[in-house]
Amino acid sequence: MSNKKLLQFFGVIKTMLAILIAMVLAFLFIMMVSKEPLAAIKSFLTGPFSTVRRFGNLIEYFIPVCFTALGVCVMFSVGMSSVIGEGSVFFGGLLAAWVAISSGFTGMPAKLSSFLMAGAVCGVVAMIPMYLKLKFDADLFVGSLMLNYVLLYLGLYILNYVIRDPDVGMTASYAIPSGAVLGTLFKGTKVTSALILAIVAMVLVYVLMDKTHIGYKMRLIGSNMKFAKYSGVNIFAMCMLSSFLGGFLSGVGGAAEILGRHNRFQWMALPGFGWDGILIATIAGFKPKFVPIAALFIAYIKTGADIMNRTSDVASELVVVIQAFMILLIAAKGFLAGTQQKLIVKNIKAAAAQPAESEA
Amino acid sequence: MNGFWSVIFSAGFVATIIRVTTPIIFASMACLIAKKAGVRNITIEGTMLVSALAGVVASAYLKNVWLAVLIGMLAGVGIGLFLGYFHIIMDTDIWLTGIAINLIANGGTVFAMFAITGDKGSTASLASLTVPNINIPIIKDIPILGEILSGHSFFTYLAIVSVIVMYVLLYKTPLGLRIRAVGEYSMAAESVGENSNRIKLIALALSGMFASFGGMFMSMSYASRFVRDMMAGRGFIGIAAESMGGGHPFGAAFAAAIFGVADALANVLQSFSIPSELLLMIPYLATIVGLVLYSIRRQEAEKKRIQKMRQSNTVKEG
Repeated sequence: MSNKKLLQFFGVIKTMLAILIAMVLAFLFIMMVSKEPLAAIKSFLTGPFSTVRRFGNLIEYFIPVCFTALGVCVMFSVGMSSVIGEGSVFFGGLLAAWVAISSGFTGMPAKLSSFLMAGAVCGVVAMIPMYLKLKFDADLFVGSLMLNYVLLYLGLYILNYVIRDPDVGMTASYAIPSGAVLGTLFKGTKVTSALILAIVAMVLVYVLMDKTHIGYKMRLIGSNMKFAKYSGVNIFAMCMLSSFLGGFLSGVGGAAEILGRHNRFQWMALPGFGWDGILIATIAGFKPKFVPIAALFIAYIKTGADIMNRTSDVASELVVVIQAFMILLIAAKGFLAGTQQKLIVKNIKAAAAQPAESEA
Repeated sequence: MNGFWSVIFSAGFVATIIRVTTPIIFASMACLIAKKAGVRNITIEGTMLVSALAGVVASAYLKNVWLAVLIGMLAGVGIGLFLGYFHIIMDTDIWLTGIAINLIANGGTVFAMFAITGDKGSTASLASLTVPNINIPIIKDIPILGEILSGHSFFTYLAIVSVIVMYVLLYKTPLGLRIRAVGEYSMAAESVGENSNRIKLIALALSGMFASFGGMFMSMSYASRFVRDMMAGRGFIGIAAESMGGGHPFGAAFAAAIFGVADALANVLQSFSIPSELLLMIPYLATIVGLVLYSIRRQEAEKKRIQKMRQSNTVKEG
């Protein structure tokens, strides 16, 4: 086995172990707070597979986080952490609803214009903090985070003053016209045609990042910015493109969520899909080809936690804590580093011994 | 708009600025000491949340506000060390560690609050205590000045003291020198026998402590209960204030006060029938603008420095 393969294999083992530890931690927390811990754990683990509708929920959750995770893969590939995904999902959802309500289109043009508007605007917005970083060296993390709050309040302003339906009792937009609502793929669920779009996006991002020179340049910037610069890579253009694509994908994810699962836009806070995207991308090692597996897993524990929240006395927020522990353990280079080192040394020794034997 | 100016130039408005600046000062001090040791601490927001809840819950059960403050402080120190363990000992990416710890704080406080009170919104059902306000003798009787300076929360005065303490700690004590040496170039510090990991952990523990004061101010003084997500980005605004302050405690406190003005303005303008959503954007927009302005200034200073160096070099050569 070559060292590269060994490292890859060890990475998978490490990820599995991190997930296992985090899940054990989850059960410990449940034992601590619940009066019926076993029932809670059971609904957490088996809940998502108990009915068609619940399994549908899992896939429904899978769709938006797929988009945000792909966005994170692209954005983080240049080695800089922009957390604009969260604000982009929110604003993308809002723009999609706005366009659908006020454009007057029906059918395909309505859907297409909503998606494109959401993606394009969020893409451009996502470029702002990156521009400030590249031109003025303004902190990207703080800049993108603050922009999330700006997008939230700007979105709430648009919701309250432009598209609010005064005839409903709560704060909600006008109903999204049926022409713009995405069709469902499976009966009894709200799994919409956005699933196909998500799969297409996965393939496209995979090809872009792994098979084209654009993706290669982005990853080169991420691994060694100076080397990329001296090799003639246009750092500015590539970083701006990666931010645009990241924002675009997140915005489309928000649009898919709103046009697929909601009759009206009524998010009053940031929905959290952006942070899930960072988690999923971390589990996937920031490689687009592993995003589907990681996203399915996160959708599974998220849906399980929601069911547990409804059927037992444990709050679903537990899952956020568990997810965060997964990020910590997977990203920790020191986690199992000693074992990894021993394995590599053993492997090299074995490889060094082998040719000697074959020569003899 | 006549009413607007009379509100702005009132003693009450200045007092409001001081009040809303308090948590941002604590957050910026927390960021500063970690940064001086070479660690970008973005977990301040989460640390503030956890300490805010810990203080409220402890005060409700112990019925002693100072013991509660101590427990909230320990919670903050604990999170600082937790960050240190993962970032320094386990060699985890600082941004991912920070994001993860903020998520833990966000979800964990709601999870714990629900387990304790059965409510996911706030701890209104707990009979928690608040930290007393302090009236300064003599000053409180002076008109205007008394209204501005006296009667603030214990934490507000602690914030002002902590800026001075931070200055003394960083520039006048051996520990401060060690922290700055490790942050500047940890290998050089290690070459003279310094344990840089230990110094970084101490700095992060102190960082957690300062953040905890900011959190407890929010839940035990500004408001009298814990509400989910009640920091609303103040920890992050503190990070921005620190980077605008040019790495000095007084600069950071001054920048924090600018954000305090933005925050207080947003508060005051709500009575002038301007949509509240737009007003709530002000502090965040101010943060972005401030970050950019500071970065431009720093770039220009750097350019000037290089120019100066070139000039003095040519003089020597001539």
